[in-house]
Formats: sequence, C-alpha cells, structure tokens
Amino acid sequence: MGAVIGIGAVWLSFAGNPANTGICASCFLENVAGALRLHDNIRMQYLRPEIIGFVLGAFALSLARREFVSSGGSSPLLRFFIGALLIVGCSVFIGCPVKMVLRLAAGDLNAVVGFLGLVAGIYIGLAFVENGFRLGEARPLPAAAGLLLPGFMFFLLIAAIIKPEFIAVSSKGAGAEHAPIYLSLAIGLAVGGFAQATQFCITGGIARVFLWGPREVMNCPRSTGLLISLASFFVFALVASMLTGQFHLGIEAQPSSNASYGWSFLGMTLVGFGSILIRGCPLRQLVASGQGDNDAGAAVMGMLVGAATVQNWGIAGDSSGTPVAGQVAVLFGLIFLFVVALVNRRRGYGIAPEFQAGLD
Amino acid sequence: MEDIPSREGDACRIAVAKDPVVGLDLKRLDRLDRLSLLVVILLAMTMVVVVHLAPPVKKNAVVRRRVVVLNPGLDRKLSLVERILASDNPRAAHKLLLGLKKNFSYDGRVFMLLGDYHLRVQNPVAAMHNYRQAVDLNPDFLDKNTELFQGRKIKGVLAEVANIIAVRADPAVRKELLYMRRKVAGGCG
Repeated sequence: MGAVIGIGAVWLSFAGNPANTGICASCFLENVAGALRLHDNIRMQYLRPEIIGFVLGAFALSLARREFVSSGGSSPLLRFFIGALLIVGCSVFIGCPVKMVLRLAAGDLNAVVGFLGLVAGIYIGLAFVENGFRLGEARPLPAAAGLLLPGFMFFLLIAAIIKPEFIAVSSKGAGAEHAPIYLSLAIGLAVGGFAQATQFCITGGIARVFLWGPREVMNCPRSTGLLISLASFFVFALVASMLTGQFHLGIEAQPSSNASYGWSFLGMTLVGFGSILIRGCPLRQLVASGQGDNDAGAAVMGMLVGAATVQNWGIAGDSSGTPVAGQVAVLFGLIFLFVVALVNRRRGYGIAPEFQAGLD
Repeated sequence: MEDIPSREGDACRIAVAKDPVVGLDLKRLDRLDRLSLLVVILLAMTMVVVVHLAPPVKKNAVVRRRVVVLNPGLDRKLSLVERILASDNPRAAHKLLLGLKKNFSYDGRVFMLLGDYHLRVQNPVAAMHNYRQAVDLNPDFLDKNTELFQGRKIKGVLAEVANIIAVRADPAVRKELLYMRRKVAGGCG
C-alpha cells in the first residue's frame, strides 16, 4: 500500500498536479466542489479523477472480495458535520493527512508542526473513545443505500470525461494544474483498491501506536500493518521525490505552506480529533463509502460541503498565513468536537463496540 | 444498555462501572469531563480574543476576486509606460506610474510596472514590494497557464533581495521575501 500511494502521488505531482499535492483529499474536494459550482473560486474548479478513483477503486475491490456491505445508521448527521470540520482543519493547514506526509517526504519541514498537531488530536480523540464515546452501532441497510456514493462518483466520472456545460473547469490556478485524466484515474483506482484491502488510514495508523504501543510494530505482520503502511508510504514518497527532483529540504520557499505554525497545529489537531471520532481520516472516509458504509458516505458529503464552505467563507490558509475566519473556524471546530465528545460519552464504559472492530 | 465483555491483557482497556452515566451530568463529572470543559472555556476565550483583535474587513478584498474591470484607457497608458521604460527613461515612467497608482490602485499591472521601474533603477527591495502587491491583486502573474506570467523575473528579483538580506538583515524585508518565495513556490490554493 505504501508503495502504491507514495510512488503514485509523487508521480501525479510530477505529471502535472500542483507541487507536493500529488494526492490531497481536502484540496481535491475543494476542486470538485468548485467544478460542481458550489463555490465561485475560478482557480479551484476541476473534477479530480483521483477522488472518483478512490471511491470506485474501493467499490470494485470490495465487490471482488465480497466485502461490500451496505450499512449505516451510526449518527450520520453528526458524521456529516464532523466531515465538514475535517476539511476546515485541513484547509487551515493546507492539506489533508496524506498531503502532510507528502509535504514531509518532499522536505517541507513546516509540515512537522501539522504532524504534531495531528498526533495531539488523535491522542485527545482516543482519550474519549477509550472512555465510552460512542456514535451508535451501524446496522445493515438495503444494498441500494450502499450504492449511492459509488453511483454519485460514477456520475462524476462520466461528467469528467464528457465535460457537460454545468461542470466548471479552471483555466488557471491550482485547478488548471493536473496530471492527464486517465493517469489520475488509474492511480486513484489503485490507491482506492489497495486502501480498501489494507484498511489504510493515516490517523488509524498513528492511533494504533497509542493503543498498542510497541506491540504494533513487534507483532507485524500479525498486526494490521497500518503503521508499517504509513512508514512505507513516507519512505517511498521520499525516494520518489528525490528521484524526480521534487525534494527540497527546508522551511523556506515550500509550496502550500505558511508561517502560521500555531494555527497549522490546531488545524491538524482538529483533523486528528475529528478523524478518531468518526473512525478515519478523509481518505479513509472516501474508501469506506465505496465499500457500502453509508455513515462514511455522510462524512464524505459533509466533506464536500465543508470544501465549498472553506472557499466561500475565506477560511483556507494561504502563503500569507491563516485568515481570521480560518482561526475562528478552527477554534469553533475544536469546541464543537469537545462538546460532541462530552455529550456522547457513556461514563464508566470503555471502547464502544463500533470502535472495537479492527482494533484486534 | 449492553455490557461489553472485558478482555484481560488487551490494550483496549474495557472498564465497566456499576452505575454508568450517559450524557453530561454536571454533578458527576470525571477527570476527562473536567479537563474537557476547561479546554472548551479556554478555546472560547481564545476565540473572543481572536475576533476582538481581528483587523476590520476590507470589503473590496472580497469584491476584487469577483469583478473584472475593463478599462481601455488604462491599457493604453500602461503600454505607454512600458514603451517609456523600454526607451530608458525611468524617471518619466515613474511619474506616470505614480499617477496611475493613485487612480487604479486595484490593478496589479500598475504595481508590476512599478516593480519593473524599481528593478531598472537598481532597487530590488522596492521592486519586490511592488511585485508583492501586484501578485496579491492578480495571482495570474505567477500562473504559468496565463499570458501575464512573470514568475522567472520575480524569482530573479527575490534572489537579489536574498543576497542583500545576507548582508543587511531587515526583519520586515525578510518576512516579505519569505512570503514571496512561498508564493512563487505555488500550492493547491
């Protein structure tokens, strides 16, 4: 998995995607929201085939492995809002956890702050999960419900190919920087498929360190290997960045970065905290929605709305720093997550059943 | 409420109390509750401070992105300035540009030409300052997909400024230089 996403992402940025942005769930969702005219930033409008590929790749492989299970009903509206907040946090940091690893692998030391923030958020989230936080167990749903998100992505795929009038396409800015559509789609499908098979998740990999400690590494390959996938992702991306001349070590002149370290930290804390509460980073939500998880589908739709909102409300960070709207949004998001975590706790209980799956 | 079976020796620490509390009961707060409430209060106070210290919103900052101003008169004046600069008469060009800056402060091309003027008179720091205003007003100057792209020239100026800073450290100039270098490096926004 690490090789597929690490080499694939660096290849995409070498082939035309923005620098250090071979794969980024949040940036790409902002592009997709723009293409669907949910916001009016003419530099951020493109139906990114990678996003479509993640969902359809996971969908295809889950069908092939007979793991497609249509389920839902575990606080979908709450997941929708937390999904939106994940994108708020990502936009303030300028990148999702996948892009954070890519930035680190390309030598951007500014991303270390984001990594520390993500780890802090995961730690806080786990404190609640280990102490009775619950969203309610998902239950089986008719297959048609699980097909909704893959169906929507299939529609977007057709739209990306035939480019109808209602789809906006940037002619300049980051939206105009993209790899050839079929390469993006192929790598997206591969990443989605492998992520479905391995349950790859950046926040999940880090969370397991807190849950299992050194045993996570010592028990490999009997452990899930999430942490190993994460480490190999970084190593493969690092080597690929060096081989393609995209590695520039330092804190100055780094693409998609700024000097608002405190807000970058808090932005990624929001992402780590929220990801733990809804069981997965933005990429994981996309992949899970492809294998029939309607709750993850609700989070994905929330992420899409969040992507439009950060553009419309001027929340996203840029080279100059984090705007006031972004600062307020991150603080509000953290308060919201704390309140959600507090009121959804069953004090005296440990890890709720819906969080235990996949922990062993 | 169902009981969750305990698994001895597991990292997933399952503890079941005799009388579990659901929701938030202010009379029976545990350590995590108290800490969380404290953090929420701190975050809320920080939010109030951030909003209080925020600079007033410039309305034209939002409008700028959405309005395309066509001004054939300005286009003619700008090409005249370009010709004057090319004919090696920077003083006359500067005089014209200052007038244009007063009337067309929303147009990045004016600042780009002001930067060109300062570059011509060997003042790279002032050139960088004007280029910054130009790219803030119109990011197309750093976009390879547009005709306005001036990235290479700006990169050259930034290299000159970096050399100057190495000799004469000035925090404000350094901050602007770092900003411009990040801007030139690009990104996904």
